[in-house]
Amino acid sequence: MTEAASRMNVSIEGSSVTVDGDIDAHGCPELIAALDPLPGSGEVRVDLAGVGFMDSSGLRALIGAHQRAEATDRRLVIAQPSSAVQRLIEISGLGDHLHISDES
Amino acid sequence: MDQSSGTSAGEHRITVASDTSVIASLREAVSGFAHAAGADESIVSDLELAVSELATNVVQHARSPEITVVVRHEPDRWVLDVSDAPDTNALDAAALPEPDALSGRGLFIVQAVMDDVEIVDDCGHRFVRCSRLVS
Repeated sequence: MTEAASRMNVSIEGSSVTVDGDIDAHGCPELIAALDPLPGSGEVRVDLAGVGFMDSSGLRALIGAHQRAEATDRRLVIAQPSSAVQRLIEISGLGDHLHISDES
Repeated sequence: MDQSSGTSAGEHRITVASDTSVIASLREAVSGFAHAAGADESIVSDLELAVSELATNVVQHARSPEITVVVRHEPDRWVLDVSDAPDTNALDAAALPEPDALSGRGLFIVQAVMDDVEIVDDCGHRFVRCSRLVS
């Protein structure tokens, strides 16, 4: 095995956050930092189309950001979740709690 | 970061320092072994998710400075051992937390994707053993 460099990339443009790669406990602090404070204004879109793997560490970051958005009358939308993200959200029973959009 | 690893008789064992930076490599090691042994994608993704959650638990909650992962291929199942383990009653409490809870989903997710999850205490060496049946 080789030393794992960061396998997650987060980019922010206005109120849009795009995450690529794997979201686990190692990358979670970077994702939390990108979403706290919430970027931009109004609706925040977190595009997860390029996420190949996510565990409950990613849910932790998303739920925290979702709560910050609700507390400030904003809305956090998880956009284009990859199949891995969709499955984790379903397993965790969060499909009706988080705002999810299949549109880019 | 690799302290030791080895493969023998349908089993792959990896011991690494307990740190979040190794979790991706543990997933890679488990998926690589499972792929090479012919596991299909759904099994590989379930094993990856389980080892990621369990290794995260070790890093965040266990006192051990190391994580040991053993993945084993048996005729009707895949077995994943991750040590050390939380308290022996931890699985009893692995209910799905409220949607607003930030943490506490790891063991629930492992139980959702694996067919059997137990905490084994082998003369004081405690580990989580989970099995995924080959359907």
